[in-house]
Amino acid sequence: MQKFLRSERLPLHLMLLPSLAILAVYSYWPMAGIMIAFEKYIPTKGLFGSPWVGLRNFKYLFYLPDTQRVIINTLSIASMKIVAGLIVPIVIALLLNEVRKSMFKRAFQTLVYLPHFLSWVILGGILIDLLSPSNGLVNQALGVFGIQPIFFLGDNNWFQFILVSSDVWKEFGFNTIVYLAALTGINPTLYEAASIDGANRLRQAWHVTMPGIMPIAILMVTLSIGNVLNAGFDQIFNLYSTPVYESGDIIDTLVYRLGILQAQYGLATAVGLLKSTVSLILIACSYFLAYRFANYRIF
Amino acid sequence: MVSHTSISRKIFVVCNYTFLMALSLLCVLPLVHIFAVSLSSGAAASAGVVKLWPVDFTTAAYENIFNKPQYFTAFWVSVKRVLLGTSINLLLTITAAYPLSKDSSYFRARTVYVWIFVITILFSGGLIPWFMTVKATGLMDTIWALILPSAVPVFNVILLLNFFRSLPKELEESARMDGAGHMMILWKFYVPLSLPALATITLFSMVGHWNSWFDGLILMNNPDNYPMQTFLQTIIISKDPRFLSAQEAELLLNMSDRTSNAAQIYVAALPILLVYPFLQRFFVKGIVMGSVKE
Amino acid sequence: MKMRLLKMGLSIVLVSALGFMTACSGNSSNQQQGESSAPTENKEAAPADPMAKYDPPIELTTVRSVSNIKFDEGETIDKNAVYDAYEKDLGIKIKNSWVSDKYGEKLKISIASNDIPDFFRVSASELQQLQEADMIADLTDIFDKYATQKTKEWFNLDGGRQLSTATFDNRLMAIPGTDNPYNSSSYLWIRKDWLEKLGLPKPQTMQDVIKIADEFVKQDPGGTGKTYAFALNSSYINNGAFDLQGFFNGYHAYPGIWVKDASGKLMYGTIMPEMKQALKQLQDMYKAGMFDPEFAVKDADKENELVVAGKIGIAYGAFWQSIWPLQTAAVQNGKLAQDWEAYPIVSIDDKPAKTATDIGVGSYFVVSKKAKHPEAVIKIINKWIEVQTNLTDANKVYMFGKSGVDKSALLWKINPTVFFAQDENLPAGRLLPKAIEAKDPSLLGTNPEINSRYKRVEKYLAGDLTMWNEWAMSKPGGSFAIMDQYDREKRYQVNEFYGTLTPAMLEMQGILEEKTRETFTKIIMNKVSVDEFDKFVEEWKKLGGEQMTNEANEWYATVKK
Repeated sequence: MQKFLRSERLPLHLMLLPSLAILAVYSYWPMAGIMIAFEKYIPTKGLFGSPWVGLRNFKYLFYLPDTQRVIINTLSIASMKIVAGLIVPIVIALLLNEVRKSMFKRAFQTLVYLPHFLSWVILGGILIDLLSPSNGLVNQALGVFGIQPIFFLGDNNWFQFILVSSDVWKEFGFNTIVYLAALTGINPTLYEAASIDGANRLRQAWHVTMPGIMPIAILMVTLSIGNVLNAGFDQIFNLYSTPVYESGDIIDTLVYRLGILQAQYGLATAVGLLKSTVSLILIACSYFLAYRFANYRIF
Repeated sequence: MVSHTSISRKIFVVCNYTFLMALSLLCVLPLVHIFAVSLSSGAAASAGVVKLWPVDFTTAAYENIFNKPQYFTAFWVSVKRVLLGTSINLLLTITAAYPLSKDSSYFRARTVYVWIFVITILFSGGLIPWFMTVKATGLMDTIWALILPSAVPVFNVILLLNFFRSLPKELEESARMDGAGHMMILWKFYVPLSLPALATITLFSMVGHWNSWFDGLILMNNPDNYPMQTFLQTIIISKDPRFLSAQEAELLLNMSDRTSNAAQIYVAALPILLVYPFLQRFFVKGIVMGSVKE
Repeated sequence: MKMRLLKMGLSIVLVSALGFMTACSGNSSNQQQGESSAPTENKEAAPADPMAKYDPPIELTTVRSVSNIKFDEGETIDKNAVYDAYEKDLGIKIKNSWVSDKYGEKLKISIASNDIPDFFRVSASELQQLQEADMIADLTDIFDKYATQKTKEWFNLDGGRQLSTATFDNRLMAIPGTDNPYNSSSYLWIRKDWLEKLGLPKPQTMQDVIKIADEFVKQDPGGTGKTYAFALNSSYINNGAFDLQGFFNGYHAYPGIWVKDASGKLMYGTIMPEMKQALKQLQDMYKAGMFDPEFAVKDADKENELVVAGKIGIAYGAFWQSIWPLQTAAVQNGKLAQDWEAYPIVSIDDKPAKTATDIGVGSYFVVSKKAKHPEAVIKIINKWIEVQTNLTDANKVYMFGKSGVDKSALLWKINPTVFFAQDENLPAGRLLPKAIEAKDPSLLGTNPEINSRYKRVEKYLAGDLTMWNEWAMSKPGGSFAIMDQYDREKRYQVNEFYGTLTPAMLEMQGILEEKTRETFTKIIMNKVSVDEFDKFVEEWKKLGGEQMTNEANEWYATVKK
C-alpha cells in the first residue's frame, strides 16, 4: 500500500477520480435500469418490485411484422453513412489544407458548419421542395439535360441515397473540423523531408498526411460503428412516407409508428439493450482488429 | 515548404477554390432561405413562396420570442450553463485523457479504465432510471442538473487522449528527467501543445450545452429555470387543428409553425455562430515545431 | 454533438418517440374550451353538500400546460384570479407541481417515476396505464355523492357513453373531458367560385362530386396548367384537414370506428367491403393523374401550398377547415381569392350519407390514489359546470379573470378541469344562421362563445376578411348549420364501441392502423391492385383484428339491453 501511495502512478489514478465519480453516479447507477427490459415495469412497484418476465419483451420484438425489413434497412443506411461520413470530410480537410489564404479557410469552416444547426424538421421541408418531381430545383436542372423528373423521396431506388447524401451534407462540417485539427498536429518537418526526397503534393498527401490522420480516422469510424443501429431517426422521420417504407423504414421509425413505446417501458428498454449490445460487439471487434493488424489501440 | 507553381498546380488551386466555394454556398443558401422565412408573414411561408428574400416582411416571429420575459431568464440560464458546463467538461476531459493516454506498459490499469469510460456511451438504463438518479441527488430545478450528469464527455476524452498520444514521447521523457511529476507535465507541457485539440473539444462542449433542451425540460419543474432551447421548444403555438375557440384562430393568422421554427433556429444558433470564428484562431499549424531538441 | 447522440441517443430517441406519442395525445387534450347551453338555475343541496367549502382550506396539486393563455398583468398560471376564486369559493388551494408546454413528455416521466400530483389530465392510453398500475382512485362513489344534479346531467346528456369510456368493470376511474362528438364529422368543402365559373351545380350525389372533380381537372379553372381533384395529405384516412373520411362515408364505409354489421354485432369499419369500392374509385382517379403524386409525403400544411396556388378546388374535412388550412388560401393579399363553401357529404346511392363521428372524449381527469381529498376534485368540476350552465356576475371571474370582461385572452383555460357540452356547437348551428339573417343578436341567448362568433361575423360583413373563416362556419348554410342539419336528419354514424380499450386494442391497434395506412396508400397510388384489399382484410384479422373484434363484442354484449 505504501508502495502504491508513493508510486509514480498515483497522480494518474487521482486524476481519473473526479470523472469516475461522476460516471459512477450518473452513468453506472442508472444502468441498473437495464433490468426493466426483463420486467413488466410498474411505476408503483419500482425497479425491484415489478414482475419478472424474462425474454418476453424480446420475443415480442421479433414477432412484429416487418422486423427483418427494418433491420436490413437500418444496417444498410447506417453503414453507408459511416463510409460516406468518413471519406467526404477527410477529402475536404485535405483540400482545405492546400488552401493558402487563412481567411478563406476560416470562412469556409464557419460556413460549412452551419447546416449542423438546422433541424430535420426544417430541412425535411426544404428537401421536399428541392426534390419535388413537379417543380423542384433538382428535377428542373435534370430537365435541362432531358432527363425525366424523378420522384426522389417516393422512389425506393433513390431514397437511401438521398438519406445518406443529405446527412453527409449536414454533418460533414463537424467532422472536417476534427480532421483539420488533426492535420495541424502533423509535424511540418515530415513534409519538408518528403519534399526533399522528391515527393510532389499528392504523394506527400498519401505518405505523410494520411498516416498522420489515420488514428483519428480509425477512432471516428469506430465510434460511429457503435452508432450503427441508430441510422438517424430524426432525419428519416421527417423525410419518409408510405411508398418508401421498403427502403427507408428503420428500427426506430417502425417502433415509433407502432406506438409500441407508449408506456411499455420494458419494450423500450429491450430495444435499447439490443442496440447497445450490438454496438458493443461491433466496437470491441474493431478495437481488436485494429490492435491485431495495425498494432494500434483505438482508445 | 517550397512548392513549384507549375501549370498543373495552378489548375488544381483554381479548381480547389471553386469547388470549396461552391460547397460553402450550398451550405449557406438554406440558412439564407430560413432567415427569409423567419422574417416573412405566416401566410407567405405557408404558401411556400418565400425563396431567399422575405415576403410580407414582418418581425412577428421574433417578437413572439423576445416579448416573453422568459426569453431573458432562459438566455441567462443557458449562458450560465455553457460557461460552467464547458469549464467543468474541459477540466474533467483533460484530467481524464492524460492518464488514459499513457501506454499500458507504463500504466497497467489504463485499459480497464478506458473500457469503463467507453461502456457508458454504449449502455444506458434508460430515461426513467437516469431521471430518478438525478432527482435523488437533489439536482432538480438547479443549474447543476444541466451540468453534472453530463460532466464527463467521453467522446471528447477519447479525442483528446488520442491527441496526447500523438505528442512526441521525448517531451515527457525530458521533462521527467528534469524531475517533473505528472501534474506538471500535463499542465506545463501537454496542455499548451494541445491547443487545436482543446479548441475543438471546447467548441463541441459549448455547442452541446447550448443546443441541449431535453434535459432542461424534464429536470426543471419551474419554467423559469428552463435553458434557452427548452424555452424555444415550448413557444410553438398549440396548433391542434380542433380549433373550436374563435379566439385561438386569430393567433394562427400572424404566425405559422414555419416562421416560428425559422426564427427559433436563428435565435438559438446566433450566439454560437458569433463565438465560433474566435475559436478558429487556435487551429494553427506547426505549434509543435521546434519544441524538442533533435 | 455526436457523443451526445451516442450516449443519449439510445435513450433520447426512444424517449422522444415516447414523448411524441404522448405529445400528440397530450396536445389534443389541451384543446378544450368553455361552452354552455341555455342557462338554468343553480345546484341543489344534496345530503352531503357537494359545494361545501373547506375550512381550513386544503391544498390540491396538479400539473399544467399554459399554451396560448394571455395572462393578465402580473398573473401567472401559479398565481391568478381564477385560482384565487377557487380558494375563496371552495376553500381549495390549487398548487402546480410543474408547468410545461411539453406536457406529454413531462407527464410520462412523472408517471413512470411514480411522482404524480393529486389530480391531472391524461390521454386514454395513459388512463389505461394508470389503471393497470393501480395508481388512480375509484371515483364511482365519490362522483355519486358529490356531483351536483347539474353535473350529473351534463355528463349523461349522451346517455352515458362518454362516462363509459372511463368505466372499468363498472367502476368509474376517471372523469372524461367531455366534448361534442359531432365535432369530428366531415364536410365537403368546394370552391364555389369555380363551380360558378364552370356552370356546375351544387353536388347532391357522389357521382356529382366525381363529375365536378373531373371538370376541375380538365378545365383548369385556376389557370395554373395543372389542377388536382382533392386536397390530400399523408394522414388522409382521418385527420380533419384534407382527409377522405367524408369520401369514404359517401360509400357507407366508416374506417377507424366500430359499426354494427348486418347481424347486429360490432365490426371495425376499416375492413368493410364498401371500402373496396371507395378505394377503387380513388385508385382510378390517381391513375388518371387527378391527385398530387406527392401527397403521401406531405402534411396538410405542405399540401395547402397547392391549394393556395389555386390548383385544388375540393377538400373533404372537418367543420373548422376554414380556419386552417383554408384561411390562408381563401384570403390572399387582403382580398377574397378563393370562395370555399361547405356542403353536406353526399352518397353513392339513394341511402343518405352518414358522417362518421368519434366518441368525442379527448382526455380524462384522474385522481391519484394517494390524494387526501379526492372529493375536492369533484367540487372543482361542479364549479366549472355551474359556471357553464349559469354565468353570473359572481362567477364571471372563472371565465374572464379579474376583469370579468371577455378579452379573448383564453383565461378560462386557467381552470384546472375544463369540459365542453356534449352537444356543443349544435346550438351554434341552430342559432347563428338565424340571428345573422335577421341581423338580430338577441336571438343568440347568453352563451359567450356564440356571441363572440356573431361579433366576428359582423366584422367580416363590415369588410374584415381575416374573419372569413368564421363566416364560412357560422353563416346560413355554413358548416355549423350543416352540423345541425346532420343532427335533424339523423345522419350521424356514431362509434358503437364506447368501452375502455381492451387488451388487444391496446397491444395491436397501433400496428393495425399502420398496416392499414400502408396498404391503402399502396392501393390508391396504384402500386398494387385493389384486390390487395381482400388480402389485407385477412391479414388484419390474423394480426390481431379478429381478437379485437371478439373483445369488442364481448363488451357489447354487456351493454345491450
